[in-house]
Amino acid sequence: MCLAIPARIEQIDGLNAVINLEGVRRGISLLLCPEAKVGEYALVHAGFAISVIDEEQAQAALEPWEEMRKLIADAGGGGDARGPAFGPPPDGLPREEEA
Amino acid sequence: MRYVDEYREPRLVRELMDELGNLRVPRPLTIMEVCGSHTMALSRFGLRRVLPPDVRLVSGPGCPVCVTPSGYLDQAIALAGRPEVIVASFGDLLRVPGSRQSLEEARAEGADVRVVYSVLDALELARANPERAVVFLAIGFETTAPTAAAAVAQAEDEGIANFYLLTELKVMPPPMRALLEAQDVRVDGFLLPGHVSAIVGWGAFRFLPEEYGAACAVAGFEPVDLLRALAAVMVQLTEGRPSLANTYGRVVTEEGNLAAQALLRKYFRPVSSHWRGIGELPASGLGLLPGLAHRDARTAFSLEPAEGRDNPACRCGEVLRGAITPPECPLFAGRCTPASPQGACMVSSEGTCAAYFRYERLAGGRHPDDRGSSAGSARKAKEVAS
Repeated sequence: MCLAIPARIEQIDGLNAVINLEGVRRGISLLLCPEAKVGEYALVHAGFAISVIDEEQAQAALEPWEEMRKLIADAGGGGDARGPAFGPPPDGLPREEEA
Repeated sequence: MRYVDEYREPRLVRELMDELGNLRVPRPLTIMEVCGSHTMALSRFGLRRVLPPDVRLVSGPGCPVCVTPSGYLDQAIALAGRPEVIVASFGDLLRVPGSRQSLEEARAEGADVRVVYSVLDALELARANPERAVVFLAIGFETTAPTAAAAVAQAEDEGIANFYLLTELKVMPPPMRALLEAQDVRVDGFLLPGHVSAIVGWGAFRFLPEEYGAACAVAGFEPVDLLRALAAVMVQLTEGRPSLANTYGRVVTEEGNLAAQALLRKYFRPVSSHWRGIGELPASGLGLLPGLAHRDARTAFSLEPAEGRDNPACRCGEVLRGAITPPECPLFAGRCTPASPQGACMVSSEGTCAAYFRYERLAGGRHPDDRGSSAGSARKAKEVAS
């Protein structure tokens, strides 16, 4: 249900874009990802780009086990659960209780 | 395919599988994946069987089709029966059994039910059929909810009056809290949903290590991603340092997709929602704001709340809580198969029972409750990787 596929953005016209998925061209919306640019890869879910793929992070995920173990430790912020990695919660979804 | 094939590269997968198999854990551990796409990927790539013997991987309430109560299906079927209505739905809802029948069976009896890949296709139906009322069955988690909000935004801008949502949108944190507080299933760590996190940011799951001491890793969907996330959770648990590792950095950041979050706040508000197998959870769903009642099919068509009845022998509720695995359900792979599903977890393409039926039975899953032999399966998992 949360399936999403990385696809290359080939054209952009306002908030509409054309992606290339293994040779199949298809129109998608950039309403959720207005910052996406031609030539970049976006993650496409149900007709919408929901994220632009970060190339540097994409490579980091292919590191062999040793580097990965260090990456995991750093990403986890080290120390106890309140380690430095945890800043203030982002102002995400509507939080207040149902009226 | 770029950003897919690299994370299925056999040599790296085999290396990670070996490393994972060698990790020693202090005591028997339970790790839960809470995304249906993870459930399916873990089974499809044969990864459940590479974990050390005392690490158990269970599935949580992460398939939106599975957690949708049958009462919702009954309302959708009632709507689809009205001549003026076109019901537009994602494909995997069609065969889910309602109390009496499924949407597919209703369609066979003449109801106008159309499968769409995107809510934008439903909007197109509304433009093309101004004299009909198009109702989109808006189910899904934080990944899909912004697309429904975007369609409402477009309908409002263009003045497309005949476009409605029948919402059953849900958010992940509340059921995870409910499961941890209910404690009928002890969960030591979570694989966090990668694409939900792309929207809400991994920061939204900080409460899991902070308040519950659960080890967490945001996971992608390919073998390398899943193995790295599993390793991250197990490294945290072996070192007694529950925290939150983002092993899907190419897509997920701490704050998430701010444009999508803004849209969610503009059109939706938290509402109470019913989860199959868990029950009613306050603020666990997203409903249209009161000012958008003209977009809400429940008000626009004054739909009766439908209680919905499930097959009493079906134990999907316990599967969704991770309390049992599919082979422990008496209907599994006997009366309940993809061809004749008795519950949503078998019919949904990302349901736990569908995953177990397709991938865990033949290889003889290693899980203590499976009847298959475990020796063969570890070898099979390695073959899959080579």
